[in-house]
Amino acid sequence: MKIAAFLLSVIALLGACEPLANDENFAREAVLTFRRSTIKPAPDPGQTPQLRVVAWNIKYGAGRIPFWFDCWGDRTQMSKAEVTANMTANYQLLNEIRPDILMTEEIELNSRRSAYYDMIRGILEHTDLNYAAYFETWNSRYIASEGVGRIHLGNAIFSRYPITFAERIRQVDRTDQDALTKKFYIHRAIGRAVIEVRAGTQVAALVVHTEAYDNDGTKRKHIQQIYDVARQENLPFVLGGDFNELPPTAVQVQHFADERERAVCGADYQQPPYHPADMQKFYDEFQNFVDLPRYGTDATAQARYHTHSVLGPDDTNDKGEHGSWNRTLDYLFIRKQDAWLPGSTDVIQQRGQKVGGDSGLGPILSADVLRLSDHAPVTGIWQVQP
Amino acid sequence: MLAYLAMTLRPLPTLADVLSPRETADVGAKGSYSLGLFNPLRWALWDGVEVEAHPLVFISAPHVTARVRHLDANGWRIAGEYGFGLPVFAWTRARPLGVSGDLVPSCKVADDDAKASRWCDRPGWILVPSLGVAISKGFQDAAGAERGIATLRFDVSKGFTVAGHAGAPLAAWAPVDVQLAPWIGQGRGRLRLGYDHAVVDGLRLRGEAGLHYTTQADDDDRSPWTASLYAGVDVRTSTHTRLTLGAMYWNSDMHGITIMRDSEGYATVQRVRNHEVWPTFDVIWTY
Repeated sequence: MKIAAFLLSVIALLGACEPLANDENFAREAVLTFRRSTIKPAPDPGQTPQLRVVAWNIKYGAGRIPFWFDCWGDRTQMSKAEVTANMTANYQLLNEIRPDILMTEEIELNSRRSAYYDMIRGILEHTDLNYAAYFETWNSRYIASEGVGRIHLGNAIFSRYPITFAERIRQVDRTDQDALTKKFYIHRAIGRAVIEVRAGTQVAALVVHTEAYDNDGTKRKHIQQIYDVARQENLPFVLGGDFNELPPTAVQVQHFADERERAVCGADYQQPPYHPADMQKFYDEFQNFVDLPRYGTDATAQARYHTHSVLGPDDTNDKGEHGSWNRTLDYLFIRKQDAWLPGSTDVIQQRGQKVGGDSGLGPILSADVLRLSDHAPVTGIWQVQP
Repeated sequence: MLAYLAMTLRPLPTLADVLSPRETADVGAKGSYSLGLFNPLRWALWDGVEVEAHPLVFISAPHVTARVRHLDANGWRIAGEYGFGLPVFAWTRARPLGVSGDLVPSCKVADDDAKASRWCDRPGWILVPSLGVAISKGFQDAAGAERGIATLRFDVSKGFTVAGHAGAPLAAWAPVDVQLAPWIGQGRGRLRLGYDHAVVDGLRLRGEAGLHYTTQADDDDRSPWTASLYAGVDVRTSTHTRLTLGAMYWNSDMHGITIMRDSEGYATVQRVRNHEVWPTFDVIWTY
């Protein structure tokens, strides 16, 4: 592998003019902001701004198509028609929820597997969101694994209000991979955007997506760094994203229904053990959109707030059981001095659901959420105390 | 291995002069043969007829090309090239015998459970005929020795899927894409103009410009045109061997983009063509 990495480096030096892969060599780096082609008027959020925030891992517009690393199917690429249909369904959901700030993970700009669809431009042009900051985490010319090919993936923050500054904060890479794999693997980063919600009032949004498959403690380092960055944030902020970690009081921590009982695929993408205690400090220091008492202490109560499942409702596991949300990995945190508007917070799990619960603020959803991604959106109305 | 072989594919010299020009319409005399580290085996079975194949690649992807002399008069040579390939095993075997799990999906889930086969995009059984023509004209020096030769080559090839389905365009590196396009079910046409010149005894210079066309998937807006340039030297290293060194430049559309700042300071995505420079190297034995 070292020889192969050396040879690849020599070849790259000799002059393939596009780098084989972007090593993302930075600690903290400003990024450009995208803007909708025609700005849609955004409502005045008020003296004490109230902002509908959403965090959603959109699984690169793949819906419930089983990609190879989940080991329930072998897909490595979608057609443009498939991506367009999936993203159209995503736009429908976003237009039902109407976020003021949207934080997305696994959004792609120009990847072979998603037919080179520009999802940044797609969300801007098909929703009320006017601005976007894209935080690249994976930019490789060609991944010679399962024919994945070109990858251009990252996280993004969308806003109805102007993004005045955006930056990405590098996170550590895994140390349990060979040199060649590491070169072409994802390089995680925290995305931060400063948003001017009204004249003289700025807030910050932080989007995260930690490592999912490491066996060397990388995810735990990511979570610690996210906590440290959030604590150092001077502006009122919302922290959202896919932490790939369970809440500290999660009842089920292993043997999830969508794990293979037989070894069908390799070990590279098997789910390593969770460490739910790592999330306790977030609940201590900040306010999650669903606090621990509401999350509950039994499996039935907690299922209401599950945000992820590898298998969708149309597929079955080794026991013949259909897939459904089975664990909580996605969060929205704000400062203690801010507040979540009662009746506004929820995990958006399925069609027909009223956001916020039976006595919630709504809306009642018509989008088929369970089939849009392997993650459910999480949402709430953030009341900012300036 | 398959990709690198594809990148450095070159025809071979004849027996009479180990440092004869390459990539021409010349066909070897009966019994002559040659083989490179990366160049294919070329064997003249009869006068005016050669067969060509890569021995290692043949294990996974059986293929053969027959080169037939149609004209050799007054410095002009015309050869027809008639090929056939069956690359299926290259797609279904993992390295080192194939590229399953590298350039194409390995389909582990489908192999385990036939009900999951609908998710497998691995290329199926694809037959690949090819047809080409090479036209060469030699140029003599004052002493009447042929020092230079210009060659125009044109070939077309198409993969026909007879079982399973065609693969998706690889969109990998340009030389790999162009070489393997028919093997995943695409069509390909190539037009190449080269010139090979003997500088001194034992040293030749060679250059070639190429224009390549590959058919695209219906929903792919990538340009089907690729251009290439090659420059290199051939050096005699012994009676029966030569060393070739060179570089190839490829200009292609591989869905490259750049994120730029527009006039108002906002980000905008622009498509750009890809530029690739690849070194070439080979040692060729000729008998």
